[in-house]
Amino acid sequence: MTTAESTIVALRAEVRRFLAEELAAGSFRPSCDSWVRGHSPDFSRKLGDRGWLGMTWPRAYGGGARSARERFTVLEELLAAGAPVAAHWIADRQTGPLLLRVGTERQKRTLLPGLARGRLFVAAGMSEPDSGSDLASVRTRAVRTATGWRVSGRKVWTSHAHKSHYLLALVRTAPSGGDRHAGLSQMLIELDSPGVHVRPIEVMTGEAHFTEVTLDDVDVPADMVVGAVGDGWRGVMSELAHERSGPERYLSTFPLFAELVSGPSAPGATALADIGSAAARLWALRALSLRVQDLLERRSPTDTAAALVKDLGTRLEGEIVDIARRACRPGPAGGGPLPTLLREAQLAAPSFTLRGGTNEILRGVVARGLGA
Amino acid sequence: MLRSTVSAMLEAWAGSARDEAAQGWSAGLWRLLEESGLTLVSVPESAGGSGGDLRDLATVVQACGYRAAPVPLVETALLAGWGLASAGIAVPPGPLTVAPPAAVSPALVPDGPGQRLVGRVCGVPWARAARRILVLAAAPGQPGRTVHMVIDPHDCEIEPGTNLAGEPRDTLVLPPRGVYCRPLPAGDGPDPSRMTLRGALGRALLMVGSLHRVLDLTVRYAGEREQFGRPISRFQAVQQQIAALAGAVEQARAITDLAVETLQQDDRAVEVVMAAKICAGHAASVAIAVGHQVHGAIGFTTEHELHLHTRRLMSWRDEDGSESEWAAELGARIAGAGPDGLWDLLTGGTSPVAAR
Ligand SMILES: Cc1cc2nc3c(=O)[nH]c(=O)nc-3n(C[C@H](O)[C@H](O)[C@H](O)COP(=O)(O)OP(=O)(O)OC[C@H]3O[C@@H](n4cnc5c(N)ncnc54)[C@H](O)[C@@H]3O)c2cc1C
Repeated sequence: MTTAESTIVALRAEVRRFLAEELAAGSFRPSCDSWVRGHSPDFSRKLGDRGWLGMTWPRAYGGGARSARERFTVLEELLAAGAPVAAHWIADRQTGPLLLRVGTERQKRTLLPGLARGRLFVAAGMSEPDSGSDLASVRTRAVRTATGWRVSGRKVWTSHAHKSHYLLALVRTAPSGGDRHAGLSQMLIELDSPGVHVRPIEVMTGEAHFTEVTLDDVDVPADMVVGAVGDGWRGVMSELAHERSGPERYLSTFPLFAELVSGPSAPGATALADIGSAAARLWALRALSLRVQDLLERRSPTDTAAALVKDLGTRLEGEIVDIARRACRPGPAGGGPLPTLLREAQLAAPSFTLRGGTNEILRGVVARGLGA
Repeated sequence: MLRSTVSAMLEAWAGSARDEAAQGWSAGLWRLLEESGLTLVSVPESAGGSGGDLRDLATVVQACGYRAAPVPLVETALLAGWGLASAGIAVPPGPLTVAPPAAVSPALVPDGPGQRLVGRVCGVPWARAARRILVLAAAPGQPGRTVHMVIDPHDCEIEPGTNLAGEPRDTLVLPPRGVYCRPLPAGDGPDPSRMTLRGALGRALLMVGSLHRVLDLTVRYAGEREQFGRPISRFQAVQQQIAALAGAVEQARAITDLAVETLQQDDRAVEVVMAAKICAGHAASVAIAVGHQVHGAIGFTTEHELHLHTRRLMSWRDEDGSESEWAAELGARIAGAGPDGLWDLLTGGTSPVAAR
């Protein structure tokens, strides 16, 4: 074993030990879709204290200067265990890397350490009522003031804005002219600023994890623009590669899958074949996802591969829910982990192929990426 | 005529009380339907019902599915009402229900001239609202046979439970000493397998109504929602999905209509009902996927109507026999009857496989 490999083995064992202790202490119940529904600032703080957030970021900014492989290992262990990681997810996955790429020195020094310690949480403000798949059509506007920008508009489906400190908003800072992708910028808006109103929206799982954010003449200091003014589209696109290729795109339902194969009732022959087929594809997807992480680290183009991971992964997750459903006829009021996980996963499944870009849009990205 | 009356009534209700559908039970809607005699359609007037045949009831049930009406119409008219009437017992007013056969079977204890029922019964639809509940129990003195017993829910404790759609699926907890109840008389009375089959048909009818609603909502939304400067219904990727949905829905409706017609002629026709529930189950999976995909994030919220239907479809495809359970049963019957039997079955001649 190389030192890199033995580091991973040791780290994996350490994370599992931590998770076992937390489970024993009752600090969480494993759940499907835990990176969206499992919001626990406490748990995020614990991970931050252990150095398991911002793992690849430079030490100067509170990061761990560790390898992408090490970060991936922690991520997949947390997801597989269904641990509550939603509070810090966007900050660790998107905002931190974005700031590192295009942020100012001041932004990196003031924000990254808080993100890496699991004390500062960020919500992703891209979608609007009329801009979902067509992100470039966002209408939230920012106009210059003496000290920065004044922002007005409405964002929707913003996960956990009611429990976060910042909104990373995609806004229009100049008319698009001929190029729809020009004139967009990203800025960090403090969610307790005057003029910000956040309304949680209940979803069909019975929870309210996403929100509507109304921005009413909100003043944003000039130094909260992330990246060059007018260059927001590029920032968003690079974020999406991180957003789409990670293990959360095929491990949302892993707690259910694990319970299905280890549960009390032995699966029948049909279920075994289904389980085998799903496991093979899961395995392949993990390999593909790891390859994309390596490319991301080397800053190579990954749009096509990332879109593929998300398209394949989210469809497989839907199939896993169906396999579980067929294998263990769900009772209406059934207790125990398997029926509970199945109910959760069934209700959440419709969102798998929507959030982070719909599969129709992703397939367009793939086809175009291949030159079709 | 019946169709337009029921639809108008349900539409008026849905306009004013949609959150009742999310809560899973509407006493107000029940009263409305009951006053119009719609809750006992197909139950003979001589037994206290409103008359009419299975086709009439199917019309009412589909309309209820289309509006996600939170009332035990199938349980009352198609199951318990039919069961009581065919056993020669007068049907009382009010909601009635039947415990699903898979629910943990309670035990019968002889007690003097009568019997007492003890134990728990899980997943009883709308038990909390029902006047009477039919429960399956082992037939006294006849090992391996089951009979339906009539229970007054006031004699038991009810633990509320729900399915994925929030519809009541309660647990009956019988008191330790049990409750006195009487078996439905054998002979002409409803045998449990016929009750199971009618349950599957009722569920398929509700599903067809709900499937139609999902299709209508989806087509309408796709025509209204614009992205990239045009309605999303102009994108081929969206068109393909809507076409697949329409196909699945029509397939389910065709076989369910046929099941009603067939059962109207021969109330022991089995396979066509299985086929209806199988096709409705397949269509449900398509409708859940396509309906949500086309609606995007808005359809995932409880502020939009879509979830009322997709959550019911998620639940209903597993209730009264899932599509895979019925498919296994139908497959076994067909394999047992051989190639001629299969073709005879599809062409509607005799039903040789049923004789097995
Ligand atoms: C659980 C959840 C969490 C989310 N969290 C966030 C968040 O934190 N921040 C955020 O900004 N957003 C978030 N979103 C929003 C998500 O990114 C959008 O839902 C998604 O981009 C789709 O947009 P839409 O819902 O407006 O659907 P629409 O864009 O209206 O699409 C509707 C349908 O039309 C199809 N369609 C549209 N255009 C085309 C085309 N050109 N070709 C083919 N088909 C097309 C789509 O594929 C889809 O099936 C979240 C969504 C969900 C469900």
